[in-house]
Amino acid sequence: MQPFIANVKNELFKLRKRKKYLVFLILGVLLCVGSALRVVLANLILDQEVPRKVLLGGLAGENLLFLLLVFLPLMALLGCCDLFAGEQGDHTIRFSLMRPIGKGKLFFSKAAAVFLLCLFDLVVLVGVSIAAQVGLGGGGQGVVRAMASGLLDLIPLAVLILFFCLLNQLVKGSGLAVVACLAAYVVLVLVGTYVPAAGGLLFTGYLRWHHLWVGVTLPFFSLLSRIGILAGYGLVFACCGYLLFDRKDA
Amino acid sequence: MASALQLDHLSKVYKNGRGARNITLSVEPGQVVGLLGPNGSGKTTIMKVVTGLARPTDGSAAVFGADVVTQREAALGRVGALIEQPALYENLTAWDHLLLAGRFYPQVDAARMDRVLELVGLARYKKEKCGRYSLGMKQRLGLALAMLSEPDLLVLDEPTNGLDIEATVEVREIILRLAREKNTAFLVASHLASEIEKMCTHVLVLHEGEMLSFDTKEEALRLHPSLEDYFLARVRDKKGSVVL
Repeated sequence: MQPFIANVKNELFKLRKRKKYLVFLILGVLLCVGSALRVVLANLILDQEVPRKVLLGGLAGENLLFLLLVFLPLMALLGCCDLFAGEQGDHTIRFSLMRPIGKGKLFFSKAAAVFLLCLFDLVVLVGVSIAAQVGLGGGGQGVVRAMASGLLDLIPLAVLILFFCLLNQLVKGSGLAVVACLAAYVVLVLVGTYVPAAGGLLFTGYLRWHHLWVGVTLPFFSLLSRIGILAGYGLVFACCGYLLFDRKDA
Repeated sequence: MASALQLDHLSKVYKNGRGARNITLSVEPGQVVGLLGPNGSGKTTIMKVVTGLARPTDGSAAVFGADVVTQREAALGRVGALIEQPALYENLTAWDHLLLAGRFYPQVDAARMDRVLELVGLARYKKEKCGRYSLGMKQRLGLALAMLSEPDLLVLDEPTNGLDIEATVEVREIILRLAREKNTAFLVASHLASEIEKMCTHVLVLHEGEMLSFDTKEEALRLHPSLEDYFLARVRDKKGSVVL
């Protein structure tokens, strides 16, 4: 386990040293705050005296949609491409491959680092959204639900990260990997949106899967099949990604 | 006691047909084995397999008895390597690199990191990003990374590439000292036969992926005035030409 933890720390260190992740996080913060200010300003300009609690109540939950469908997939995509295809392209992956760490641990520690990056961004942005909502007078409505939803949605996000890791083993070069991951993600989301029959079968359809968990009673048996589908996708992506990574020479 | 490195009918053939075939070799602690061969003879391929960068297509490679494929962590824990150009992150400093590498070895601390930087003459530049380093400085950092964990087997591919005369001599002295005092085993490749001659105890001649001979330096120099002549004789023997 020690090599795995050591490499997770290393990968996070490398990601932290790339300024684009900080820039994207700042942009995300600005967008979250901006969405709150936009509503307040629009209300002021139109001189409508709608109570702030009504205007801004549930803002954190609304921002979650943007985070889950756009921001976090983008971060996951960039992280995977930097740590896999990018390093394979410029041969810096040899730095890690020459250390005493199994290839399986190396593969999954890279995926874990991307997951932790997304988790950190999610915590920061949900925190900022909540602060903006409460700070601008929107009250605490929906705050707990937004936090719980964010945590629940980390599970399909982990599957998406494994999918990007797999795609990175199939293409050469960081640029091509970014394009391939982006194209695949957009196509899957569009198919899931416009072909209802396929929506439930595609893992991207579960990126907002906290919706499934909402209700007075938990539809446990209905959820079971969906959990199975998601777990199946995760298992296939993890196994195929690792096998391809293991077979690759540096 | 297991050999520092044991290659048993090792083959690694790439899709284009290049690589190394049927290499059997044993390197004992304290030995410095020089790999001699032209470009494409399989020197780097063998080193890549030994350091876990490439999977053998046949045969096996073991470091102190641990197979590099099936017991990767145990094997690579005792190996330090510099293969081709050092794999460095342009946006990280020399210190960052040592910090990242050091996390895998419990015995490595800040004092050891400072020590290897002093040893390769990079202490003054440790906080500078590697993107600004010259080829020689990158090579020095690559050597520092290879030596960081005080490995029992060092695999060095063209270790003096890009270094000036003074640094070349220093690297050679480091290799000889580690072999003598710490009993470190070395696998060193160089396109310069004269350089191999100055530091190795054994010579392995490779040509088109095949192992032509493996002798002690004394044996090689008994019949030939230099390793260069020894190498040319082995290659001409293989081609069926008359040895000059």
